[in-house]
Amino acid sequence: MTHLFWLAARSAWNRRHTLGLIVFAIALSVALLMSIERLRADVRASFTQAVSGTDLIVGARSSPIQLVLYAVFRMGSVNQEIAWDSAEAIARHPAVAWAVPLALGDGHRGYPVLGAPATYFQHFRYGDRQPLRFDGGRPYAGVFEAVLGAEVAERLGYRLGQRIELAHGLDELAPVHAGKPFTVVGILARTGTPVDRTVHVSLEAIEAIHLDWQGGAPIPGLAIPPELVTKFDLRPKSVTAVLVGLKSRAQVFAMQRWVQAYTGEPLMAVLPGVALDELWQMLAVGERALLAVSALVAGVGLMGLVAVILAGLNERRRELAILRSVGAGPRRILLLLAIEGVGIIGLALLLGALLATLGVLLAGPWLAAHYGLWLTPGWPTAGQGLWLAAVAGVGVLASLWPAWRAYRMALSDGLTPHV
Amino acid sequence: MASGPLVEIAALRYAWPGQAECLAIDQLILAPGEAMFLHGPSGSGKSTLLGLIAGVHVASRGSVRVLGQPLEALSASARDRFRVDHIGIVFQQFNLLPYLDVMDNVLLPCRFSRLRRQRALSDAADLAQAAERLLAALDLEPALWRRRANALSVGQQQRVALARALIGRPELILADEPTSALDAARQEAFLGLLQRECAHAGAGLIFVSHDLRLAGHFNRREDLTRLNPLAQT
Repeated sequence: MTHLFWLAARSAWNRRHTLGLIVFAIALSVALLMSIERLRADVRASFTQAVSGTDLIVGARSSPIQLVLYAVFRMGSVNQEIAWDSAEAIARHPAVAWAVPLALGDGHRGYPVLGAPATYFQHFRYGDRQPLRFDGGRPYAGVFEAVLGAEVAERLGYRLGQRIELAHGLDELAPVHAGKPFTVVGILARTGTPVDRTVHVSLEAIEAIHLDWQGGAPIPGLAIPPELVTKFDLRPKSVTAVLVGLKSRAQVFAMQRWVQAYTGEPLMAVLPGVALDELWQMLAVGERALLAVSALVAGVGLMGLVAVILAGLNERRRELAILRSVGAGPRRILLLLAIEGVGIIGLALLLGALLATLGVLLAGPWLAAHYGLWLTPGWPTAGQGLWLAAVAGVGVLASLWPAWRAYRMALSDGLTPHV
Repeated sequence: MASGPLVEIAALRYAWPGQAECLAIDQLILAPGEAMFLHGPSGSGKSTLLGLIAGVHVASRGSVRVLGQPLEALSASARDRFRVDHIGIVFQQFNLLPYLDVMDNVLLPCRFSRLRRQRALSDAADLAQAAERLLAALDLEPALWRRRANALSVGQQQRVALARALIGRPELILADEPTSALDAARQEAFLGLLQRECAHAGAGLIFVSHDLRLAGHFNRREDLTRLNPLAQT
């Protein structure tokens, strides 16, 4: 047996250029498959980990997905706000442990501004119930103080003490709430969630910058200087959404029903996990298309392997006849070719996994910086393992075909190859 | 197994699958150590006959015995083992695996046959020495021994093939036009070496060729066109 491995290795080494190309082609498609699978898993993880520990998100009645997109990912918009009274009613409900009202809509140089009470930093959880941590500074206490997400600080080069102005919208061209600069008093540690891209201020701050505004524009001739805003009632009149934590998870459906039945205004309570799953289902079509394309690429690579081995068989008829003359039976010939095919597949899988890992290591920081995608290099995930096994299985089957052809040929040729 | 004829063909009929019979030999006997020139122009069925004696094909009817063993009674894998154990084969050309060096090519039968390995080791310290002795006897200088087979001239390759056929002293050597790729002077030399080394090893030889000029070197000559009435010439 060992001499067959030795022969297969020597023979393959003799054709190393052609076989090398094939190994590389299959390795590339394997790397592609693994990278896409890794990307899929990590995108999904960072997606579903954007919020945790929040039992319900309450907003004005509309589409649940829209509410989650806006409240968690700061994407899209919500047309309807909810009254401050409703938010307070929810907070007072006996089942509620904590409630954090959120006011969204403003921006700073393209980054969303979130108005929330300072208790937000205490209650908000992401990933595996991890709390927010400060890289430096503290939560805001005064009206014109702001806390930055890690990415905002890094990309814009802001430090503690930086003075920033907010704009009335996410658009870079949105009108600026001029004359009311905020001081950065805290910078959060990186979370890999939309929090990194958010500028946090108090709810009072949101009220303050809109005192002299109406209908999305400054009221002409009215400019209230920052030192005078505290003279006004800065209690918010409305908020965008309320994050709710319950005393017991068991009460979540009861609470949801209570919110739906709230008589003050039409409200809606969404379970974030359920909405995120629904959202993910919508994205799954694209994800499956990506997987299908890479599976096709892998298939083409394997076809190449079969084609190369098959095409080479005719030139190897002499070789097979010589092997037969020294006692190799047709079954040995079959084994010899199978060893070669399996060896090539194995090598390609190894190289592909290596390339994929290298790709994650090299492209990871860039993806994180540009797209907020956090890839985790490491051992293959279950999904990746499945793909590897599939390629290995199909590859072994594919390489058995030329082996079978060689077996038939060895049988019919005998000692005299018909070339 | 030693007594009795080396090769004994009786009432042999052979047809390729799905085709009419192409080979019919009533009797052909080769004694141990005997050398036979088998004249076989193309179409006379020589490749088929060699395949039958080597056990890669099986008689449709009748019997091919080598060393008293009817080959048709053996299983396919047993025939493969029998072949490498007892028969050395030299082809017309392209005898060697191009990706192995001379030494590894010569030792190939010893990797597939324990019997050949044991016999090779019985009169040499190790396999390399056994191969070197043969290569030296066949006028292949040591500088060539670690060369890749396809770096050698055709004449050198045929001598390496002969060394491979002879290693481990098989009882029978089948040579299929081994000199047809050589020029006249080298043909003579190769033929001389072939007969000398077969005699030295005590091996029987069946030398098949269409070239009647070579027949003079052999005491025993057979004509396949006469042996096989189904020959198409």
